[in-house]
Amino acid sequence: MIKTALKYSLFVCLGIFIGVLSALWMSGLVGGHRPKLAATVVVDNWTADWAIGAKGATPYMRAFVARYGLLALPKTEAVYFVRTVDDDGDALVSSCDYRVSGEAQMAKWWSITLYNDKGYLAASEGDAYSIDQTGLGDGSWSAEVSAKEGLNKSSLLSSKNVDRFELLLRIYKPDAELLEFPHKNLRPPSILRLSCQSEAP
Amino acid sequence: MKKLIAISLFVVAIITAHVLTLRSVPSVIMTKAIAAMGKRGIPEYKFVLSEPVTLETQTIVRSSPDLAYSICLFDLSNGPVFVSGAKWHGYGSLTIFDGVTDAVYIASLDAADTNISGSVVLTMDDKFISKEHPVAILNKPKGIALIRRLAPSTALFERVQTLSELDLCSPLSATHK
Repeated sequence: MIKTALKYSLFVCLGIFIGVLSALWMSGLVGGHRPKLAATVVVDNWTADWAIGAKGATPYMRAFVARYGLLALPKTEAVYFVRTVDDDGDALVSSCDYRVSGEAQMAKWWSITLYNDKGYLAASEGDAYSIDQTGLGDGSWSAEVSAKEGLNKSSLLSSKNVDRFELLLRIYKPDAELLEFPHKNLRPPSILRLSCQSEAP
Repeated sequence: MKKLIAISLFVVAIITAHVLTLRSVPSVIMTKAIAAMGKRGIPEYKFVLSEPVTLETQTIVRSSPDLAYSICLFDLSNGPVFVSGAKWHGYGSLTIFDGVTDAVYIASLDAADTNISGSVVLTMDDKFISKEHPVAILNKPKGIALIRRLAPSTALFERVQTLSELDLCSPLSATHK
């Protein structure tokens, strides 16, 4: 009798362990997995999810956002596009310099911020954390991503002291047309790799 | 029969643990965030303007260095709370996040959006009526009121510092006697 009860308890404990672990994994909270989201929007490798901040998001999405985008705004206020690769599809790394260029967005205001691969501002000299519409104007623009010092701050994103990094495009008060037809109306900035440091001998 | 019972218990345990974990994650994370903000000196019922987001001051993932954040922690256990944000010439918003991370109320603080109120009464009483302000009903007592104002330069941040003194977050009984 006791042996049977112990066996059942073991099954229950194992089930609880698997249940908890699978929930955390499917939410992207362990194991580096990002949940597959129904409302994902991808334009030229800039990836957003319209469900961020929405009450109707799936439980997996809500758990993921609670951990990685706490206090995020819903899409009517702001949309967030992340990019982790250059125009050739290679990962963004601090050993390379890039030129980011684009046009004004269909929105009230936009900015691009450089974060490390954990989502935090990277160590940067001169506080060159982001570029934005205020500094770059309402027309076509270009800026440089580099770990070098002494570049023009208003058109520089510093990648100093990080390894891999991501760029986050924030678009505040997006026009309804952009939300409805993002593939047509987003003006995705390009990220051209200029040069890379040679490997150490 | 014993094998069937064991398998059934195993499956039920997986499903139950999976669902309960998923449902509790936002609540647990929000509770931890509120506690962490409290430890950093953010009191209840008072907007506090955070320092500009930098490498040294960032506490939340993907904080924007272009925005000035004012945060108020509230607790509806003792009654409704009145929250109000001063208008700003540029992007600005007031967002109320409940205890499970949902944005239950958003108001523009952009002076260009003159028709939208920057004030709200927060309550857990679904029969509460206010003739003066919008009302947001929350299911849990604790939450965060967050004001964002676009301030990408030091000069603009200093203007926010002055303006933010007009922001209100306090028990309704204290502001509407």
